Amino acid sequence: MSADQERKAAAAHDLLRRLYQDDDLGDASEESTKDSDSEFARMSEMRSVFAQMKQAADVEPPTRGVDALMAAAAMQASKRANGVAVRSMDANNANAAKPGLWTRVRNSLGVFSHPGAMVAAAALVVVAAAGTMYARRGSVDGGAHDEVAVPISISSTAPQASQDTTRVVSETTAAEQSTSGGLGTEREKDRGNSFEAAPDSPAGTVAARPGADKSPDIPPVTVTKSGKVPRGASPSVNAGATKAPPKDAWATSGTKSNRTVDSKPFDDDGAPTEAAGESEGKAAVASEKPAIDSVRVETTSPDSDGNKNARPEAPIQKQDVAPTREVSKESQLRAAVKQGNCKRAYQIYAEIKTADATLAVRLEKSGALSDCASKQAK
Amino acid sequence: MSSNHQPTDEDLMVQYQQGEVRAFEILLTKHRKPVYNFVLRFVGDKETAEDVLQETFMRVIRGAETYKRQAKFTTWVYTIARNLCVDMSRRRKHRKHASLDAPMGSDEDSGSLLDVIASNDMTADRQTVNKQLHAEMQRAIDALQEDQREVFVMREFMDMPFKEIAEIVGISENTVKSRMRYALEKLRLELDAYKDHAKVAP
Repeated sequence: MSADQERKAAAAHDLLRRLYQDDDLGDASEESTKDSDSEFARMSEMRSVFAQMKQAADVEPPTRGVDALMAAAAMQASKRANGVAVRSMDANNANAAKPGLWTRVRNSLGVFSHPGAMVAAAALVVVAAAGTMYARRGSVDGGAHDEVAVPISISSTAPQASQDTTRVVSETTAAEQSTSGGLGTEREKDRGNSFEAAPDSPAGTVAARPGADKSPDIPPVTVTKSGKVPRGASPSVNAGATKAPPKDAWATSGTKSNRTVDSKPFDDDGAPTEAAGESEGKAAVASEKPAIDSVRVETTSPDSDGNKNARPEAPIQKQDVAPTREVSKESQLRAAVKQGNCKRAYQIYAEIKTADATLAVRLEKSGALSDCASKQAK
Repeated sequence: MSSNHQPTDEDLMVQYQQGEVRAFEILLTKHRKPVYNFVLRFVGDKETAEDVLQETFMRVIRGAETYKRQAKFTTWVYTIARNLCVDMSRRRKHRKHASLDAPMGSDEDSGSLLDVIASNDMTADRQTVNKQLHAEMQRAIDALQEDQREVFVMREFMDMPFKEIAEIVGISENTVKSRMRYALEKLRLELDAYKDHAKVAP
């Protein structure tokens, strides 16, 4: 914008201010005021013409629509008044009621007075409880001890005549394995299971291959609690056997074999683990605090047609092998000894002795209490 | 508070919101005429202006519930009226300005705008001169661009401050002043031309 245009615009602005007296002219320069004096006079004259026009041209509107407008206004006002009345009544009622916390809770539970709602709520509670239990179990299986390779012993219990095989996979700690020479193995032997680790299996490694029940030379597989299979091991079995096994490992049809996986019954503090506490069904019933989380997995042997790859109808069925109270006590005893809690160990030993003298003798022989004995001797 | 306190337009509107029809009646009586004249100057047609006036107050009635006291009532009403006028003029692409010679009402004897303009106590000669001048000015006003004319009408005939005009039209105050300045310059040129013509004429 040129200087001349700017000057003109400023002058016009000043003129407007003077004409309509919107602002005071304090900041207007004297020169520009003088320049616009003549312009102002002409504009003022013109405005007087406009004023005459305005005075003359202001006409009274026809009254035709007034009644209609008033009727519409009255109708609208009555509508609003009703609305306001209803709203204020609601507000008053709300204020008057103002229920306390307990009343509100009771009112909110009133919905369950309906039988359908009650059933739905009950179902919801059951589902929620089941879900929680499932989730917690999952977290125990695959959570804190993910990185711990848990040794599993496997024994085949299958009566060869019927082609049924049962494998019991016990999880104990590597230390337990090494100190006891394989407690689980011995125990299973006691039960009549032939439980043999592969000769080349390292500690914490077990030979297990589901579906290869009939074969005596089972290649070793290391199974961790979380189901992780370390390198070099055949990934044919997942720990806990709670997950669906691979088809090639488990998919056999015909006669069934049972597989039991025992999980670590106690945590490092000697307290029963969640896994132990949440072991399924009868195992939990059989002992107060089940020391062994037992899962029996049923697989099928080749059917009469020899179709080994046929998919079993129910590849995994968890059944409960009721662990004896003595086994539980035995584990507790070992845990107590490991912790150095000899008092507790002896207490448990006494209980075992009362219940099962044979086991007590065996434990004594195995040197389960040797640490405590040496401590006492000292 | 004094007993002779006059309720403002905003007070009256709030009273109407609360269901007092009398408050609306006062507002209608007070604003019918200025709104009608504003619309008439905008649309230039009495019947259309009447329709627009009716619709404006119908919208006031319908929108009373949403009215906020913070808003100035006149700004609100004139915004409604102005928007209706703009819609009307858009619908009628060839907007008819008030014909100075055409009868203003439906009655043939209602008189023309020129008659109304010159209906003051003046001598016949003076009346004739003013009639011509007013007619010229009216023609010049009608010839203004629509955006300039609406600003000019609101400022000059409705005595609205620039700020309120800016609110109604929805533009800045400076733009309003700029439009007003252009409108005045054009009208001044028309007035000068008329004066020159009047001097030359016998």
